[in-house]
Amino acid sequence: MRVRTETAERLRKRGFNAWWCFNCGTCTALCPMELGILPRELFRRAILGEDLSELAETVFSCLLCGLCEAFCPQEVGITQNVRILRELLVENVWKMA
Amino acid sequence: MSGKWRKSLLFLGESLKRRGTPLSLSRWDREGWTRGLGLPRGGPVVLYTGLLYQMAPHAKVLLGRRERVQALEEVLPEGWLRALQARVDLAGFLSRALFPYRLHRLYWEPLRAVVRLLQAAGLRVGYLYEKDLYPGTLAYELGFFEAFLRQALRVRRVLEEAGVQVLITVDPHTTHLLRKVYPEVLPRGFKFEVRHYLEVLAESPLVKGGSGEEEVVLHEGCVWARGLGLSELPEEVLSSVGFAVKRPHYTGKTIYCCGGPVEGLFPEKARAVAQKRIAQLQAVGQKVATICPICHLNLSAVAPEDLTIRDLALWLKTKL
Repeated sequence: MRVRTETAERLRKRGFNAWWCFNCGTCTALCPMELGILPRELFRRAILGEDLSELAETVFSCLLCGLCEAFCPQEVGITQNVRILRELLVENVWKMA
Repeated sequence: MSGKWRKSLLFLGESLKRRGTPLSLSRWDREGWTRGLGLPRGGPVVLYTGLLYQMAPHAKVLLGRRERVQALEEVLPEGWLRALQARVDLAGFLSRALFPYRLHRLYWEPLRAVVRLLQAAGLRVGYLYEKDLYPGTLAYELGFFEAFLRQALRVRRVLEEAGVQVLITVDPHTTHLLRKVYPEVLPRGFKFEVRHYLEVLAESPLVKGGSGEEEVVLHEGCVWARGLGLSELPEEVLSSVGFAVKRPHYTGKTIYCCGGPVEGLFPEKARAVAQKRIAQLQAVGQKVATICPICHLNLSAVAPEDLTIRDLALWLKTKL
């Protein structure tokens, strides 16, 4: 995978914050959706600049129920991050907005 | 990547952008529930439904007619679909054609019950009728931020023009959006007092404290428990009017979702989550109280016949 810093910059400007995630996997263990790509991996791949379209199904499958966020030891704003990824997909990638 | 859900998103998004709502409702659909209640128009304290209860039965019908929507989505190229949905509210049309009246009753009754409960508590509330607008919940959740912001500004303008001071809300999503999201995202903030009807009831003489006999299992919903942090309040109110509240294993901070938020895009996944939640609820009782119409809709769709799922306002009304 080619690392692209511009995606990380774009995410940061919108308030995306997963820099404190230390990959403990609490979110992975708690997710009711049993998502294919789990929050910790999803955010890492997004920050590294992976094509967001490839992550889209996971991003839109999230229930935004906040169970992962309530127990995140690093207090990462997981639901807000997912909303930001959705905004980027809708506005910048798919030009739906 | 499957194109099916993406086309559904496009379909929804077009409606949210053009009309500010996922599907347009007729005046009767929006306001029919107020018939005979004598709710005064406007005033400083108003009941604000955000149309979620009124929209729920239409969403149910639309989801039942999903095949027809998908057939259209499969036949039409993306650009055509977008252009068509921009001009004609296909979702609104499909959800309103040959609409069964009993479904209206299912989601109007909780609203009527809320008014009766507030009246019993001694509070006189007004209603904004055609100015009770959808607050943009789905646009916010799905990432259509511009559409959401436009709708939020519209809602604030309408409320300012109507001279409203206090909004009494009925569902967790609208409460959360108006109380926590609007003040954060709107320039000049959102200076209205937002109170859920249960908060009002908890301070009224109706609630005296104590515990009851009739058992009811509480599913308070994720937005209510984690978003608003009000998990204990429904139990307090239910107990005080004579219910013995039972809690499933996952409740409060650990509450398990009903699957509703992804029903529109991934119905099979939503169903699987709802089935898990139903099993958790059924393990502790056969009568369930919900606070959110989306939870009610999604859990009812997979509930066995011997499980009774009713809105909390309707349970409360039985004790008045």
